[in-house]
Amino acid sequence: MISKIKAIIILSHKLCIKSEVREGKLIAVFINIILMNIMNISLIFFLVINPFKIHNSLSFYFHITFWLSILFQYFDRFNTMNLTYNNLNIFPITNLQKIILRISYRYINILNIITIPITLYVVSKITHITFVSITVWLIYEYTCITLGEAFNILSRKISNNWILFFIGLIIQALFIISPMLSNKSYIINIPFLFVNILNSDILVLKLLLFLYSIGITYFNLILLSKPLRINKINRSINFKFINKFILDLPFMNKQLKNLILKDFLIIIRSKITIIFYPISFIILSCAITNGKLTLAVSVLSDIVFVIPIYLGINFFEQDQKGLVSLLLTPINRKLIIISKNLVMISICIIQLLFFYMILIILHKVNLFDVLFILLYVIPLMTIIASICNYLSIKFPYNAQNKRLIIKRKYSIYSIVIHMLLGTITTGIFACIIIISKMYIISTLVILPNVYFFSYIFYIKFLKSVDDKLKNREKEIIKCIIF
Amino acid sequence: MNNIILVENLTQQYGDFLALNNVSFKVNKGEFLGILGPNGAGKTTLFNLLSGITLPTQGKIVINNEDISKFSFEFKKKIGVLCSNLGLYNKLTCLEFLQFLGNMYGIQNNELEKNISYILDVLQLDLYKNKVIEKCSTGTQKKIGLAGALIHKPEILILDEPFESVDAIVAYNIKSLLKDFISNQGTIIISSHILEIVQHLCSKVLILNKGKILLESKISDLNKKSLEEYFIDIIKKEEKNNDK
Repeated sequence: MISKIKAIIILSHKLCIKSEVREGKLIAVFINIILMNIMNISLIFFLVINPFKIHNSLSFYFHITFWLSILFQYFDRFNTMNLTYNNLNIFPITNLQKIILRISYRYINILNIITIPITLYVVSKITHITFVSITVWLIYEYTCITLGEAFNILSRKISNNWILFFIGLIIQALFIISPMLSNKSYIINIPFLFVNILNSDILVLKLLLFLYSIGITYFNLILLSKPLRINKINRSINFKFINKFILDLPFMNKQLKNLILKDFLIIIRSKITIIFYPISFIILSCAITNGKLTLAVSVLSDIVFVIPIYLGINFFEQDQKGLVSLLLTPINRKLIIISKNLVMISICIIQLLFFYMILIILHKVNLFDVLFILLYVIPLMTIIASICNYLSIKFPYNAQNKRLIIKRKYSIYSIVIHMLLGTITTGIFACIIIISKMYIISTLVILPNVYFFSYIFYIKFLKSVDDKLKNREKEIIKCIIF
Repeated sequence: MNNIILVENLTQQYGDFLALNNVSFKVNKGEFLGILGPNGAGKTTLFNLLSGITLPTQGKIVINNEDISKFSFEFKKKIGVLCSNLGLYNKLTCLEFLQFLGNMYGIQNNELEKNISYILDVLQLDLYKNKVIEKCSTGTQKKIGLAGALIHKPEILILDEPFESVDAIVAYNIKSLLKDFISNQGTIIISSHILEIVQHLCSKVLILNKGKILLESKISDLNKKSLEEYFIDIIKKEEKNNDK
C-alpha cells in the first residue's frame, strides 16, 4: 500500500510541481508562497488589532480557532492541480487508501511545508500562543480534515459537505465552550456565541474566498498576463457549497472588472455630480442636524437620502444611450447590477471618509467612533443598495435635462418607497449601534450577524432583481432611450 | 439558399398606433438587404425588433434558426447592431468604449487589440481614439457606433441609417467596410434615405410605408429603372389608394 501511495504522490508531484518548473513557473510558485504568507500575516494582524480591543483568553481562543482553521483550508486553494477524486478513482485503491492519499497529498506538498511553519512562527510571535493551544488547534483541524475527506469519499453531494460543516462547527464550539464554562460570567452568552460562530464562519469563508479570488485574479491577469479561466482554478469539494453563496465568484470576472471601470469613469467624468453631490450632502446634513454636524446622524442621513438619489435610485439613467449597447452584449445581468452597487458603495465610502476627516479635524470626533460607525455603514449600504436595485428596475426614469442635475426627475414612487424603507432600515441600524455601544461583548456577537444578514438580504434581493430585470429589460430600454 | 433571417407576421402596436402591420420577409445568408421608407414608415421599429432591443406585439423573428425572443447569449454574439441612437457611452473615449464592448463580448485581449486596430484603421478613427465621444462630431460618432457593432466580428449586421449625417469621405469608408463584410459571407440589413447608396450596395430592397411592405424585390429585377423612380411611384400610388 505504501508503495502505491508513494507512486501516486510522485506521479501527482510530477504533474503539478514539475510541470510548473518545466513551464518556467518557478517565479509563479514563489509569488504564490509570498502571497499566501502576506495574506496569513495580514489576517492575523487584523485579529490582534481588532477594533473591540478584547484580548482576554476567551476572545483570543475564539478568534484564533476559526481564523486559523479557515486559513489552513485557504492554503490548499493555491494548489493548481489538486489530486481530485476523479483522478484517484483511476487507481485500484480502497476508500481508506484514498483518504490517506488525499490527506498526505494535500498536506505534504511544498507549499504547505513552506508556508505553515512561517505562519505559525509569526502567530506565536505576535500572539504569544502556547504550544498546548497550537496542539489543540491542530487536533481540531485534522479531525475536520479527516471527516471532510471521509465525507468526500462517501459521496460528492453538497449536502454531505453541509454535514461536515456543522460537525466542524460543533467541534469548534466545544473547544470554545470548555474555557467558557470555567468562567460563569460567560455562560449567558453561549447561545449568542453559537449563532456568532456559525455566521462568522460563513462570513470569514466568503471573505477568504474573496481575497483568494483577488489574489488569483491578480496573479493570472497581471503577473502571468494571462486571461483568467475560472475552470482552471481548483476548487475542492469542501468548498463547493461556499461557491453557491458567493455569487459565482463575481470578483474573478473580467466582464465585471470592465463594468466597474465603465461605471466609475461615467460618474467621475460627470463633473457636476462630483461637485454637486458633496455640497448637497453637507447642506442636507446641516439641515437635518440643525447646523450641528453630529457624526451618526449626518452619515446616516447621507446614506438614506443623498447617495441613493444621486447614484442609487434609477441607476440605468447613468448609462443613457449606452444602455442599448450594454444590453445587447451577452453579459450576465447580475454583473451589471453588482458593478453599479460596488461603484456606488465605493464612491459613498470615499465621500464618507472625506467627511470623516472634516469631522475629526473640525469637531474633534473620536477616531474609535468613526471606525465604529464605518463598520456598521458597510452592511447598511448593502441593504440600501438592494432597495435601490429593486426601485431602479421597478421604476425606471429618464433624465429630462442632462445638464442640470438638480432638474433630474425621478419616479415619485421610487423616492417615497426608498425614504420609507431607508428610514426603517436606518432606524433598526441606529438601535443596533446603540445596543452594541452599551455592551461590548454584544458588538462581537452582533456585528458578524449584521454583516451576515445584510449579505443574505443582498443576495436574496439580487436574485429577485435579476429575474425582474429579465422581464422588464425591454420596458427599461424603452423608458430610458425612447 | 439558407434563410438566415426569417420574419413572420410581425406586428408592433404602440397604444392605438400601428407601427408595423403583419410584416413578413426573409433574408438569405450573404445577402445585403436595404430597407427604405419615408419618415414614420416603421423602419426604426423594425430595426429595434430585429436587433432584439424591443419585443413585437405579435409575430416572430428567427435568426439562424433561433427565435430571438429567447435572447440567448449565442444569438447576441452573432449580430452587430447600429441602432438609431447609436448606443454610445458619451463619457467614455472611443478606445475605452471599444475595449469595454469587446470585453463584454468576451473577446481575448490579443484578439481584441487586433480587432480594434483594424476597425480604427478602416474607419479612420485613429485620430479620435482618445477623444471623449460626446466631444466628437456626429459623423465620427456614427463611425464609433459602427465600430462598436463590428468589434466582435458578427455574422449579421443590422444598421439603422449608417449614412445619415456623414460626409462623403466617411460614407466612402463605411461603404468599403460593408463591401468587405459582404465579401466575407456576412449578411447585412440597412435602412437609408439615400437611395443611390442602397441601389449601389444592396442585393435586395424592401420598401415600407405606414408599417406595411409595399415592395420586396432584388435590385437586379428592377428593370433598369432607378430605385428612386420606383420608390416615388410606389409611395404616390399608396397615398392615392389611401385617399380613395
